[in-house]
Amino acid sequence: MVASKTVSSKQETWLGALAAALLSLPVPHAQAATLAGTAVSNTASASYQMEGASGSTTSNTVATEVDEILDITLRNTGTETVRLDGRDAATFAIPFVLTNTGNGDEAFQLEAADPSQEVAPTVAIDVDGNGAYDPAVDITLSGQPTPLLAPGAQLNLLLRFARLPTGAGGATITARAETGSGAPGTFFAGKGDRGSDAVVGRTRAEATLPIAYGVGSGGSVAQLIKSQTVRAPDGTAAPVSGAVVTYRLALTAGGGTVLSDAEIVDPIPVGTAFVPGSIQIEDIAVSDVADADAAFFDGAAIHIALGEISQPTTRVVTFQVTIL
Amino acid sequence: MIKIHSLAIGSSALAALASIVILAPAQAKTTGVTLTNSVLVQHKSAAADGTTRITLVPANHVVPGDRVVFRTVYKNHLAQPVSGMVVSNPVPANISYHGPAEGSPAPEVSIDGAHFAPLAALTVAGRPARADQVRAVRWLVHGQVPAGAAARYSYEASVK
Repeated sequence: MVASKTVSSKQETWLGALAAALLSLPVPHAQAATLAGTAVSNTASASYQMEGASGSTTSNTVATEVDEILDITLRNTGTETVRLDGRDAATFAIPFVLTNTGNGDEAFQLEAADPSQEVAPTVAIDVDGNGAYDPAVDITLSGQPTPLLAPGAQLNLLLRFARLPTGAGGATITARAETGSGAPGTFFAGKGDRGSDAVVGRTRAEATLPIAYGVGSGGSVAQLIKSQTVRAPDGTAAPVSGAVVTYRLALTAGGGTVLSDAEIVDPIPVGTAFVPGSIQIEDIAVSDVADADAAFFDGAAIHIALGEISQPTTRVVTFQVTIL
Repeated sequence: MIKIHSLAIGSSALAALASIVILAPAQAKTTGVTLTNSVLVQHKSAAADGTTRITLVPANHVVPGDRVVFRTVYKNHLAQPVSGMVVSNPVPANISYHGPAEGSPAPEVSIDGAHFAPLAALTVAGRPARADQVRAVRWLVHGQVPAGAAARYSYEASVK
């Protein structure tokens, strides 16, 4: 009995802290997907005239259930490469954000790995959202999933090291929907909200976030990290003809040197066509022509003038091509 | 005898028609004018030639973003023609109207459920109405629908 009561008390503390954490989350305005378990019903009707009199009729009612779609994103909220110099090992953490981009309440399982570390990094919920670890406030996820996140809800998280790395390296965070993950379209009968079925969405209901870190000011003064995502016409990530590839270029000043007249020149790959109007700098669209804004496409490569960058700012540029 | 009431389908002229009583045989299932409704979802599969084949299958389950087709088939089982046929279909909540489905004539649409017109003729707060603001559609069948005649109307939409 005593043991049971102790557990209960711990759970209450845990849930109370989580409730506080989740209440502080911003509500994304873009979230409008129909909630899992919603029934969509439709009945048609008709009217007509026959020999001067009117008649009418109604159709059968068709009911369609909206399944729970399982989707997730992970986003690094800090700089592209985290500097570890002078950090306090007790409180240092790398913040990142998990977003439930599905349409149902979902919990997520997180793992962190770093081949250069003897002890795997851990993940904690950043309850107060300050980007630093505070053992009195923040909650380390020791193998258990996150609490249920509402559709569109974001959860502030922290990556923590048992001991601060002494050299440059990288950690990988992986998150998966607890209901299930895998190939888009994978079906989990009856596992969705309100008795609906659950279906894995385009993100495969799993996300991987690489975190790069460095120590000291050695190496190049700037680092350009390029990544890509592919979206095929059928919703998968297959690099087939007609698929749209979104490239993400992240330039980080790394050595304490201020960069001036920084420019990114990135040729588009052979066998692809640039998507007009797709260049964005820090999520803001810019034009393709050489004009007052910082970007243009010369027919073969995109050019991005980034001007002066002072450490440790990261500038992120995205653009799209279509596979021919 | 079956008693058939005129339905409020959004047209003031039609809504004004009084209820009437039509004499009909007892087997009501295949008498009068019938409407059969179905909701179909696009199912994509890889064809042998490397292309993506899209087929329509009954939409028992959907997820946000799915392209769906709302299909209504009418048939005149009466022994005589009918005229002035209007087939109406509301756009359910959580569904975003796109336009007529392939092979179907374009319906008149309504933003408010009362006033119907081609989409291009409708405005919302002084701006051209968007397809996703459509809340109901209807097809006006011109001329007579002969005895035994049937037709199919459908619109394409997506799950919000």
